[in-house]
Amino acid sequence: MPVRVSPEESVDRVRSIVADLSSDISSNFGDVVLTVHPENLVEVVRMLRDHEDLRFHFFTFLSGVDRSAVEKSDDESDEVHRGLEVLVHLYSPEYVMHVTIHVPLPLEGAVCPSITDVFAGALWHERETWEMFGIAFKGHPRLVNLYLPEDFEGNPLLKSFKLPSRVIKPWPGAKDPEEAAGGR
Amino acid sequence: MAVMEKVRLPKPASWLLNWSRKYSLWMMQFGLACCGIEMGAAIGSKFDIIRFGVIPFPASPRQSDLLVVAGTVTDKMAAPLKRVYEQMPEPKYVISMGSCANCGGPYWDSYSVTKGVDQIMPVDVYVPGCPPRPEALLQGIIRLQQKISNEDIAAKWKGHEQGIPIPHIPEPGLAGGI
Repeated sequence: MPVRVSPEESVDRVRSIVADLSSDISSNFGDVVLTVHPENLVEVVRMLRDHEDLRFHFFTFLSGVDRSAVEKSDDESDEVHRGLEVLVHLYSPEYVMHVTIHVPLPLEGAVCPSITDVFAGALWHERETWEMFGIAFKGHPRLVNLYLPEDFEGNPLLKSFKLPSRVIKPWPGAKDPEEAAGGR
Repeated sequence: MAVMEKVRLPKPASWLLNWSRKYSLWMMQFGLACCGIEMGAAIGSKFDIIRFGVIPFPASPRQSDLLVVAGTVTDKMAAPLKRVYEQMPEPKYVISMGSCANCGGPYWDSYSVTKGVDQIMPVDVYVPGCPPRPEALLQGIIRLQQKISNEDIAAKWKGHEQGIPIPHIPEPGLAGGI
């Protein structure tokens, strides 16, 4: 039977176990959020999976984020990461906990260690992140395009990737809710 | 078909052959997105595409006359689609179903979507809609049958492209009228 763990306790549990390897552990709407240096990623994921009090046995998702266009908000004093980022989502069916691992990476020549030795299900996710963001996964057995044609040039989900159709004809609608008619 | 390529058939014979061809269209389905679901509904018992003489589920493209491209053709899927088309024997027809197959539709600015299936193969009938309802596909089938019935089959069987205009069909009103 799954034992539901409160958000506060789940953060405490994760913090007590991976405190040495993570720089920032917090809670976000009941999910544990932690930032991990790329070097420590595999070890952290392995600990989260294998530790008796955590048991993050279910690999939910791995994806990338291009944060190069993130704007600094007024109330934020500390430095905002503007490079790439790999996100790893894990789930603990036993304790009903979610964890999101942020892995900050540079914008150019990003290399992230592969977690396929821990979760084989990450194989396709890492291939997709590779083709969409150009993030190389060190240790991945077959890092080739998953969805895109083999001869595709560029990484379409990067902010720097230009859509030729949009250059000719700008997006016809509103980009932000504030710009939309009616101001919703 | 050597005779048909050389001789112009007398009109009754040509009419009979066209009439029998248009009510025996073996349909190769190429469902790629939500349009494929609508195509499946058109094949199913409620809309029943077979009553128009369209026979779905051929064993292979080599036994089919009609290719229905229903859905978003991506650049990666364009090559297999072209291969299916090239395997089909002449005379062959293509129906492009839905906005994506017609022109790219909502993916007009995408990096990976082919902007219209007519860029890789000749299309006979375009069915608009996003996705089109099964009735719209049936209307497309009727248009194609009208086109086939006016064809010069000698030219068609030689594989010649010729611009046979689709006759104007008055749009049917809603059943019973409003």
